[in-house]
Amino acid sequence: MTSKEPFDPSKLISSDVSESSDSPGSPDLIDHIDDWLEYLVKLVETTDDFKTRKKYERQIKYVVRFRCGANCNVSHNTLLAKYYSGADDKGGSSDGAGAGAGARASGEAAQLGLYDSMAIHATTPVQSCYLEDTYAYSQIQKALACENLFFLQGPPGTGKTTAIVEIILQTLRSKPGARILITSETHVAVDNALDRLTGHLSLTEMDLVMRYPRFSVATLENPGAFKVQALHRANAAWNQAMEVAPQLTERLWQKLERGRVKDDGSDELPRWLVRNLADSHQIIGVTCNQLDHFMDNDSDMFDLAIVDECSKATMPEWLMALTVARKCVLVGDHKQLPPTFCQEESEALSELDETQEKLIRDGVIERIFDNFPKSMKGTLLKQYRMLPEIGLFISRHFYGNGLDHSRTKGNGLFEHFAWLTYNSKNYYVPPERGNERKTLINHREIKIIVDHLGVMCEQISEAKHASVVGDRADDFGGVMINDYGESIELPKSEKRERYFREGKRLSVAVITPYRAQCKELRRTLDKLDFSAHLTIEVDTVDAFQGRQADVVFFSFVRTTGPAKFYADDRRMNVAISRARDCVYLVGSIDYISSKRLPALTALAGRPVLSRAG
Amino acid sequence: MSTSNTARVKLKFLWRSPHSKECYIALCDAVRLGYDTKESLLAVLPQFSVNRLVMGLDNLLAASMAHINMGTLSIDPDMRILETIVAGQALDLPLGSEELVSNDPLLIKILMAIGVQNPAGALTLLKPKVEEVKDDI
Repeated sequence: MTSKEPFDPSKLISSDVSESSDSPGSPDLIDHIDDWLEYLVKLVETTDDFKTRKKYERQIKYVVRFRCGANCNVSHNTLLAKYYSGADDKGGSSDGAGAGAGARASGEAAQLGLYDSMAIHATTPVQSCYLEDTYAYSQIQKALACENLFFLQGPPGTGKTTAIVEIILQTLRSKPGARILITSETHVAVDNALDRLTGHLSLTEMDLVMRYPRFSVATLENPGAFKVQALHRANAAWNQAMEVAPQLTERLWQKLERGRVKDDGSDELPRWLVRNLADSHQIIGVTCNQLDHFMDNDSDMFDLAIVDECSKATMPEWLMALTVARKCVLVGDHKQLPPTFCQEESEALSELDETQEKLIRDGVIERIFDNFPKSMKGTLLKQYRMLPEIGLFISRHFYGNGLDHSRTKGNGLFEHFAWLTYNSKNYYVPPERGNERKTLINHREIKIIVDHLGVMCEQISEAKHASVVGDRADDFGGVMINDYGESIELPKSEKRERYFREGKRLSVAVITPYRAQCKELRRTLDKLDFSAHLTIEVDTVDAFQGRQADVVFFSFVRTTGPAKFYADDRRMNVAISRARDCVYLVGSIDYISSKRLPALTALAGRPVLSRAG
Repeated sequence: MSTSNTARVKLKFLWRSPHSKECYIALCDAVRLGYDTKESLLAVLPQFSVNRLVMGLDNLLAASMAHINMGTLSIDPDMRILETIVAGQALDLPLGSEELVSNDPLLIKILMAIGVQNPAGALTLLKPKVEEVKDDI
């Protein structure tokens, strides 16, 4: 184009974007970002809490930065804009060459030596588990070979965290100096990924890792990982300085800002120190919203950002990670729950028009995933969590029978997928009708759960006792000597029950869709002690996403009224798929079967284990 | 009894790059204590990343608040005054705010009066914050 030619703004945009298949009236990515900005500004105006307001302000800062193209890799903007509007016309979402102009431009820039290409061709896996699951490894290879942006869908229990660890290990193997960001909307997801990753690192490599601000969980698979916490890193730096230059260190300790003690008694590091520590570490784990604590204009960008549970994050949250990294791998599952909005946020959302509200609530992950070309997306299809009975249900009802199952052996005692139901005639939950505020607490279900936990404890206790006896028998080749001096071979069931040894505790999750029921369950279970045989977690379905337990009790609560909460397949998917071995459906089977929703009708067809009067 | 109509302002100096202030302080203190080579600075300041130390030093050199001679660093005596005025209280001046805002010659005079030998260099590191004092009388 010469200076005499008329200015055509459309030429400024990537040809891929201008070819997009959206109709003239349909909103594009910029419109959607603007909706988000409008919403975030409303939240800033209405929020009284200082910390929450700061969070929204940070999100606005990053969203504006992305909207202006002032992010780390502009290919992300063109790719998202293109695939937000529609799939590639030429090849549809099946197009293998659909990485588009953004990827081509990045590839060309890499060839010119402007920067290292982030496309990695990894032929052999680092983790041995991928030697068997070659399909999963092929998906990881695709993610590694991608230059800019990749979406890895991981249905429940399909090894998302293992995949994340493999991607990081391969990146480090191929590009030892790469800066890597591990982020998520929740602390737990970041903790899991870092915990597993550090298990594969040498002591020298561990020095490159930092978890900011700290692990949120009390126990880790790899307890050595605790030393990567920012506070430990800061202490190590101050101690090292003290050894080399005590006078200077003492002086700086007095002069420089030292952070403060938070309300919960934990120490908060000063931001200047966090920024410096982040610069000195190569692999950093942090939640999306805390990213800004250590990123400023002088910070180094990341070569790779991995956003775990991205479908649970709001768009500003995953955009924050995208803004500071050259390559981004989004890991999540849009068939599970979308972001949660608190009451204040919901009120602000209701002020927007209906379409804006729906788009913001549902997120754009599913839309982008559907439109992405095959080369930019992958799905893990083999689940390693649930026993086949549970896994098949999840696969059939939520993934079109697409999942394979790996586990066949459970704990031997609790492997049900069945109802603990009751007669709900004349028992109304909620008791109120009309527009009154509803009390969604079901005491009958709480009693059923408590009783069953008691029975479980008794059975585990017996199994543990049998295990001790069995161990003695093993010393004599699996044969016991009875009181009369005769030898007896141990029955099969007793051999099986040796899953429960002394000290073994079964993990139990009691989950429910409603907060009031959750509180009441916690209050009741806090008074009881099952800790000898069980570790019990009580939470709402939405909060439990990303976690798992051997046994899940799902308390439906309602016995009357609309089943709005259960009607969402994503919520039922999350609820059932948290279980490894056993799901107890605690509710009124009559009420559930009356709803005539496909997933609920299928659940109502599960066997009934007990029916209370 | 008569009241004075003279406008009053509070003048405070802040670091132009607030994220670098800790780095400036650490570098200056370290050099003053004799850690005046690249190796010794990197060894005694592990709390700071190499990047930020380089950027901080670059700013100090550009402002002539640090000098380098045969690979050895020294800190200009002005830097002590700068650290003091940033940490200290605001100056109460009998001036209108409009007289001070974007008026580098006047700011230079003020800095010189305080004892800064290289006020132009000081103004590359510092930025003024002018606040008008409202008189209730």
